[in-house]
Amino acid sequence: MTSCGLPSWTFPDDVLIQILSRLPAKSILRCRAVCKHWRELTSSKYFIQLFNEISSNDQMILVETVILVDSTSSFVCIDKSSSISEFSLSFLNDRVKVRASCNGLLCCSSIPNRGVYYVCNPITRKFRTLYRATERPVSRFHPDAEATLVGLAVYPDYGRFKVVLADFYRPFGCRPFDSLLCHVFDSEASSWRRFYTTLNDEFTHMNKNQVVFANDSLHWLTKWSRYVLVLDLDNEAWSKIRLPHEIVNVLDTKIYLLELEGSLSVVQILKNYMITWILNSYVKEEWVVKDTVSLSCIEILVPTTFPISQTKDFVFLATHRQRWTRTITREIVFDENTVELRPNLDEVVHIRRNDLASKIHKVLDVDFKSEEALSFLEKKIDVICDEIGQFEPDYGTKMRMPQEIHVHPPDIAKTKGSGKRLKGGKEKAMEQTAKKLRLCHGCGARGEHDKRNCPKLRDIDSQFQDLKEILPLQTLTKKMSKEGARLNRTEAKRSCLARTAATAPTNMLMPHKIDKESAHLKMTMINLNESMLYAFHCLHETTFEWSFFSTLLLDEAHNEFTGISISRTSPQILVKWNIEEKEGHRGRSLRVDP
Amino acid sequence: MSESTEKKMVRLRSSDGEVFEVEESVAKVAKTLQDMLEEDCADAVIPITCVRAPILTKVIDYCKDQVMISSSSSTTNNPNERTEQERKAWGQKFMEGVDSSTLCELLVASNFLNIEGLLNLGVDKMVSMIQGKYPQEIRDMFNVVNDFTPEEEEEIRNQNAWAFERDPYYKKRSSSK
Repeated sequence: MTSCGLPSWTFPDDVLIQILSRLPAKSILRCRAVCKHWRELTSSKYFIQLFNEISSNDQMILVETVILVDSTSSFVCIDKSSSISEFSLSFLNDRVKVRASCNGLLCCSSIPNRGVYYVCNPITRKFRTLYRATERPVSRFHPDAEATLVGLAVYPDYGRFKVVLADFYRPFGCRPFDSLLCHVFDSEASSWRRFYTTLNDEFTHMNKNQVVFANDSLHWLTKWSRYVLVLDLDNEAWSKIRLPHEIVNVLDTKIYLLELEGSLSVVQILKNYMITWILNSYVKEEWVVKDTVSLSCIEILVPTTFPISQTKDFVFLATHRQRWTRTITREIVFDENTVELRPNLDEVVHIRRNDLASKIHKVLDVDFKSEEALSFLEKKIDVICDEIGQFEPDYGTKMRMPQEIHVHPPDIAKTKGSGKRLKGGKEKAMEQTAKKLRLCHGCGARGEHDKRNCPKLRDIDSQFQDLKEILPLQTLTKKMSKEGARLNRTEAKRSCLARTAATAPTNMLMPHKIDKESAHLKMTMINLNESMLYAFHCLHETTFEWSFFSTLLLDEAHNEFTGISISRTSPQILVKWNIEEKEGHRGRSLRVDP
Repeated sequence: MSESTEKKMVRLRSSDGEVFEVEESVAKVAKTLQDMLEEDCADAVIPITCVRAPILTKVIDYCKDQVMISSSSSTTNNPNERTEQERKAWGQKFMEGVDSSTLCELLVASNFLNIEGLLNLGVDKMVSMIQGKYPQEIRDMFNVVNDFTPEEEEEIRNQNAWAFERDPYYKKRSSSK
């Protein structure tokens, strides 16, 4: 265990504050549980200000993921050390929808209780409930009492926040008027204030959750992304700011409202480029390009990518989960004049074209005001149209169509099986008959089988199946003594075996034999005793009379005697034994004829 | 003692009585010592009461390096000789292998002697050491006594339960092992 040899009080507080303020929020919360002194240090106003200052460059990002099935959402927080922790808003004890976020606070609206809002800090789990601004009944003309615009402004230095709800004023049972009703909640006064503004109906639908708080004003993008709607919180005045021409007049572009170092910024994703604009002046509506970043390294994700937050060092991009099943192929397409068509123009050319388009729009906007200017423009454009015809399209290449078409025969492939002819049934049969029959060593006959699948041997095997399983001797002898000779055939076989086994010497071998010609089962028993081999033959099936029918003297090296086999199809006994390396062969068979 | 051609030496005494002799320029990196030298109240040995000898050696090492940088940059006329990255790498190397107790003392020393660069290095190192640690581990590191009652501690834990959960990232990692 490492410990510094100093008591805690000699460790200077200002150093401690320096250390703690550079930690991520998660570690600070853990440090709060260390001791009382540390908790006080981390709760002080000075510390919180310092922490806000330091952490403004390393933002934590809270990502809400909505599960569409049951419309529940979960939160994932991404730290500066890119560690991920999970959050929930369960401490609110309500089903809520996040409507706005600003400087670490979330503004949520309650789903069951319309008009109730919560402002919470998901990290410290502190929250404040804002009750209904007005006790307006919910009408069927106005089914969702949720405000169209929700804004949250947090002043971290003062520990103060404001919530703005804005909606078109809809008197009971009437069509909405063109007046915007706005409620502002101030946390210091802890009360709602309301005021009206006249605005035209361009703001009926807003992009949700894209409220941005900067320069003491709240900003929203309008639906058609032509203007930014601004609410100046100090003067409580609404205004709108035009977006730059380069954004408005370009097709197939996506824009997102974000904040960058205290000023309003718009991130535009156009083809494979991400262009960051910054609002320089509210009065002049002057936008400046901060930077242009090529996204070609994540080209495949670009269609679903959108920025979540940005600081001066990085932009945090997120992407929808998407399954990529489509593949993109690029091939050259010619038109009827055999000029190559290139739908995917170079990006540089594309941007230049966009610039040109925006310039033309600007010119149109200016000259629209007077008749003189319009006719001047018409003339000029006619001239340009005439002159532009001279230019060959330099990006296309001309190609000659072939006059003659050669068709090549396919290459000859030589594979296994190629060039073979299928044989007919008759031919196959004839081939079969021409074949020499094979000799079966089991039955000794020539046929279409060998010893392994000899049908005769198979029959015998099946007959002897039950014999092979030798029952316990005692039970068999008992059974035999009771029932005597009236045993059926298989039991007779068994009992015969049992009896002989009971009386036979210990080293008796019990092989079996079949007399094929009489189709009768005949038993042969061999007694191996000392150096003599006795063969007994069963003469009578029912009475089990045994007769000694052959004897064999194992005169030489009977110790090496290994086994005996009896041919099952012919009346002979083959005795085999090993004579190791004598006379150059390992086995010898004797024929014992009855 | 003080001849103009020879470099002026300053003597420092650590808390356990060891005396170090360093050049004045090296000592001047520490702002506290600089103030003392400018006020000329440091004729004899300067006692540095709260710093032990091994720590003081480390501090002097740092100061010497700083002097070397500033002199080399002034002679070669290239102020950006050591880039940001190199400086970072150097700092990491300097702090490599420093355990928490030495680091605590180093922080106290650099705070006392008012050496901003060293303090920043130490703080950064400390931050990386504290990150991801649990309260008990931190207490052991800083030798802090837990003065919460168990109920109080439980309450703090409950308030910020998410902070005391293990990172899901690490969870996955350990389970895959």
